[in-house]
Amino acid sequence: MSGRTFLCQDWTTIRSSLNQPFVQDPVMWLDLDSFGDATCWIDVSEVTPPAAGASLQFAMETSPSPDDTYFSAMAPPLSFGAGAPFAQASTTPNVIRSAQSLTTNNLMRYLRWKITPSTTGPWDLTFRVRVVANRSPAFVPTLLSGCIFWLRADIGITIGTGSANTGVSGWKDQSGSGNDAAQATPANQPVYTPNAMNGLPALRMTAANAQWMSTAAFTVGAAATLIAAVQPVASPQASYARLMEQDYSSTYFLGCDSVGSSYKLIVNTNTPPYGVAGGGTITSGAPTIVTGKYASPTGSLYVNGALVASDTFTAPTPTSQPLLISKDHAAAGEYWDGYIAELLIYNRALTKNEFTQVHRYLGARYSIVVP
Amino acid sequence: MEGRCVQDWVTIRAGASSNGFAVAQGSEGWLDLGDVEDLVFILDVRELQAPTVVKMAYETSPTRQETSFVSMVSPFLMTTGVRVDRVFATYAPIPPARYVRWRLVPVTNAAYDVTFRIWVATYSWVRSAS
Repeated sequence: MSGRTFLCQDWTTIRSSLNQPFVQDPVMWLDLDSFGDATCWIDVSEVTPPAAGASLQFAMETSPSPDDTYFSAMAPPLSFGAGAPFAQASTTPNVIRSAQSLTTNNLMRYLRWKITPSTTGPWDLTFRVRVVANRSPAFVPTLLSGCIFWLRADIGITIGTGSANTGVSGWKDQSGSGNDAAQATPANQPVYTPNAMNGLPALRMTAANAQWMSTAAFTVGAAATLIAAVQPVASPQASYARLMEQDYSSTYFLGCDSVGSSYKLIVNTNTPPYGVAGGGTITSGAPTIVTGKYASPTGSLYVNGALVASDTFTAPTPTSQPLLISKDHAAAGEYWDGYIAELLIYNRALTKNEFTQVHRYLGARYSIVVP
Repeated sequence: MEGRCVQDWVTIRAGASSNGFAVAQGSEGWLDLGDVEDLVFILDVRELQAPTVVKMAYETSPTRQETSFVSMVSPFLMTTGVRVDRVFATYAPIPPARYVRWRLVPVTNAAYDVTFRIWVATYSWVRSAS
């Protein structure tokens, strides 16, 4: 290879029975000094997990120095095993890129692979790693200040016992704020769905099965930006179906309008019709970015990055409350019927440029045309 | 910025007996990007029969290995007219690797034909993110 493409590891098979990590030999580590980021093309032709239900974690690690101590995951590790949510051997490469979250980093000069079995047992993995180096670092939402909540379905998912072991019991916040979402009741756990939105996973919330999640209490500011990457499965939705809500009457609501045919933003309003910041069309099967932005006194609703409605609201008094995903904050009902792939909350109103950055990030991930 | 012709005018026609096989651009036409990171595709479709039968995909790969190509944007149904797709390295989950090509992916096993041309504007190395 030449230019900015590198063969990090030619085809090899690693086989062991030990429950301990295997790391690429230092002689083979890539030195990508002067590059800003890297995209790793990982071909896996064969995988044998150490036990049924167990997995092999395959991570690309990076470090600013060749000192072993400083290596950490550059991208969310691939988890190879049998059955969802594990990846399988495939003739199509797994392409991963850095994502700055709690556990991952942008490129820091040196790059290597690492395999970690989840348990003891005979395992093997046959793979190859090619790397395309980039000058431009990958944009991630946490590069913008004020990100207090970031859930994405391709990272931080804990599978529970609901829906025949495809239910999601935990969804880890990637903002670093610890606002993880959870659902302990198996019957109410949303279903982890691989390849749901543009080849990326999402959580399927089924209204009929009352599937939802919630966080512990946290405070959203008197100004805020709420963003959801979703795909409706029904149209119309239930009246005032929720994407995410703390409390429409005192803080924020992002969801559907009274007839479930349009999206709606409500800020600190307890009187029907809860303002007129509603618009856009809920289209079944269409990946959609729904954004609510509030900076006193104006709340604006955007669909796929385009302004569809705005209204004036009284600024909320920041109070610590749980955030409900796909459900009314106070009672059963008003569930979202569709997929939720990614949720973001900023503790402030994003500027125009920042707004564009986040929408281009989501648009590229979920194949949504944005300005 | 540099403009490159990925595919000059061409008509691709497939009969119902083609069994839904995908048609990929010939390897001599693949674009070798070198140091380019950002791409803007301009697809000009002048004639299209059975628009719901076939999708267009823009694929990339770090090597000239056939099985290694992966779509940079979700394959899409075509309509007559000009369509613009942007693939910016800063935002793309799969940024452009070294080689780029087009691929027609049938959705169903039926006859189709399409006449199109593809240009791409290429941008080198680091740029402002906004």
